[in-house]
Amino acid sequence: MKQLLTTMRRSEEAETLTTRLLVLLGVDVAATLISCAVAGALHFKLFNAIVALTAAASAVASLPVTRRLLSAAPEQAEQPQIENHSLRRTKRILILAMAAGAIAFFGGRGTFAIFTAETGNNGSSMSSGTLVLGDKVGAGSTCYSYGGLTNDNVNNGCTQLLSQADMAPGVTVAQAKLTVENDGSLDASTFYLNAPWPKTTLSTPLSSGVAPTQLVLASPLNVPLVAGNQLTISISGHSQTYAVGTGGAAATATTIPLAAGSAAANFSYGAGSRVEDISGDAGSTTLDCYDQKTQNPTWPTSGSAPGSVLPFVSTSGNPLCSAVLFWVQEQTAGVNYCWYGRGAIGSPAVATNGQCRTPTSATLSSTLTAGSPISSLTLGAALTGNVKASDSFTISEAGHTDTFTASADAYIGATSLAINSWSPSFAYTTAATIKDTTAFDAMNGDSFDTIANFDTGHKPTAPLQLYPLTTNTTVPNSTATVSLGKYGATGAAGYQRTFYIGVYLPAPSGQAQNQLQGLLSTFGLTWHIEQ
Amino acid sequence: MHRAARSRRLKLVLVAMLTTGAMGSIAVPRVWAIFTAQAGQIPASVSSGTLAIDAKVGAGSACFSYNGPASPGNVNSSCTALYTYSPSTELYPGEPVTIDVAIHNDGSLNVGDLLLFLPGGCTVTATGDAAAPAQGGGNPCASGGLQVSIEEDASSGGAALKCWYPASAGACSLTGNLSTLATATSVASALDLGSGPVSGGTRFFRLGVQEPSTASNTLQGEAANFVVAWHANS
Repeated sequence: MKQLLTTMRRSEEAETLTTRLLVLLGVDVAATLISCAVAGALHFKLFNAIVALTAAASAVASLPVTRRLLSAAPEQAEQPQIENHSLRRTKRILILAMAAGAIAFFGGRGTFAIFTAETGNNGSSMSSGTLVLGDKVGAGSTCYSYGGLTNDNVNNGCTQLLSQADMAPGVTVAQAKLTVENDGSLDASTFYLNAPWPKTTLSTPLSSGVAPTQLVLASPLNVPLVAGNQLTISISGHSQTYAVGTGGAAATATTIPLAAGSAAANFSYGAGSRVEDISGDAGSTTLDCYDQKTQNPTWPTSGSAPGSVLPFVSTSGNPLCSAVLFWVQEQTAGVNYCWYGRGAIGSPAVATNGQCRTPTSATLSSTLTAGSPISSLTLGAALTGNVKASDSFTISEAGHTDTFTASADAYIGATSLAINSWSPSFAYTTAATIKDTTAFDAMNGDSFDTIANFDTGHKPTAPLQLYPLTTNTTVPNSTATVSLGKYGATGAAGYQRTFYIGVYLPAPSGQAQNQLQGLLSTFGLTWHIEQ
Repeated sequence: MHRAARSRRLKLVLVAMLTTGAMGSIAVPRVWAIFTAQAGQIPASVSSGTLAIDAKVGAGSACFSYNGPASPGNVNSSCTALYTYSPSTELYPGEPVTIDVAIHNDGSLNVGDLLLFLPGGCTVTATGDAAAPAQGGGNPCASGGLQVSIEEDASSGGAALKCWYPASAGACSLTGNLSTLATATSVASALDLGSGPVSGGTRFFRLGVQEPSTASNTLQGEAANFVVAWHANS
């Protein structure tokens, strides 16, 4: 320091005013920093950094170029000898300052600390959460997403939702209750429902690095393929897409030619790998839902005539898939919403009470008294469908029929019906049939809310996003950050949501439906959540 | 030259960054999902039932509804005639003829409603019987013409269950008028025979026809022609 001050004095006469000011500023900064460090006002690392920065700045300032910029040229020309001496001294001083800075930054840690303290947190651990989707049909057991054969948290083998035989137009209604739940430790921000692509599995493995010329399937895709259609193969997080080759393939084919020059497989896709027609669900002939004629191998010696013997029945264009009405009614924590079907957004008759239209029938819990006015009916079993206020009903038994109207909405699971005052003309018993004729009429006139239209409208690239419900009369909350809470979560973002999925074969007025006899429609649903 | 090359490289880098940013903001959210889970049911299946009937006249063979032409489908108009007149089978006043018909349900669905009607009604023609060349000029299809009955039996030719036409309990009295029945020419105006048969079941009917015992000579040499259609609804 003394040397520095001495040097400064000797240099005063030779240096320009600017240089002197800079040196003074450097001394001032250094003194201030040292004072602060001694007082403990600066974090040690910060102090080191500032000292180092100051030293670096001093070094830069010492460069001839910088000095020329900072010094006045005419004065330098008049006193060259003095400047050379001054320059050497300044360089020495600055190098000394740089050395001090370097020592302070790299090695001076303990030099200035008076008191120190330190703690350590050992054995920290981190774990990833889980995202597991489970679904349960009725009171069955839960099927988990991780149980799939493709080892990618996709399970397409959960319990069959519906298996309804012998549907008759205007008569048969089938409905299943499905509980979908998040069994993981992470919230699912999004929750989707969609129709799958037409799919099957691989029978003959593909070898990694080898370009296949064909795909051999375990079962047909049940959609006709044309050249260029895209087939995706996936398993264990790997996937690859191939184009169908010249000539395509019939819906029943199990050997699919691939386009010439197909790429080598990027993974060893074993038997059981998922094969999906991602060009599917584009029209009535390429649906995930497909029709077949029913078979009865014992006909005609026993049993009934199957569709296979009816010459007026055709599977072309999947007519039953295109006729059967389909609905997805959610009822979670007492709140209802129609996601698909007559009543859903996009259907011809959008409901404002959260109800899908369903062909609803019921029975009585006890015999009515003829002639006595009533305004409520206690039902023999919980409603399996919805009822809208003002719907007309018939009640029939033993040749007697009365009509009455509902006075309030009723939802699936209700055990009573509020009706406008009505006096039965007959003592209807528990054998009487109660039918919501308004609902049946509406459904019989509907040709839009079909399985086929669900497949084309909500294929995997256009899924229904199942936002959490709010109330019966408001649309779900599209801004919610959680759609299916982690396991155990309750409230609006609970971990379980319940759906009623139903089908009905309508009976359009004045139309024979013989072309729909003896057909078997097969279709799937996919539930998908994301972190 | 160097500056131009650096400028191009810089532009490329900036464009790549711009593209990445744009993709990040417009791409489908799924692209960025870290964890996903998916479950799907074994495909659901729904099948429609079948409704097919066959009619067997007497000990004849069954005639199936679905063996008719493809359009309109499930309508077979080529089944065996119930009764064909000939010189040996011509009717005489007061002498009834009965024909047993078994309607069998070949479908998987129960018949919700069985109907009977006479498409085309009843038309009169001359018998053309050489032994009776002179026609009476009367009309067996008109009032005062042929009498008919439709009786349901427990089995073919068995005990009478109900008389559907003219409606009465038990056996028929054969007093129904063909002229009235012949007005049921379509499903809409058909005679309702109630529900059934159930899938795999059979109902047995006995159709009776007679020329009234009081028939006038005007009915001589006249033939009534009509088709009996059995129609099943699910």
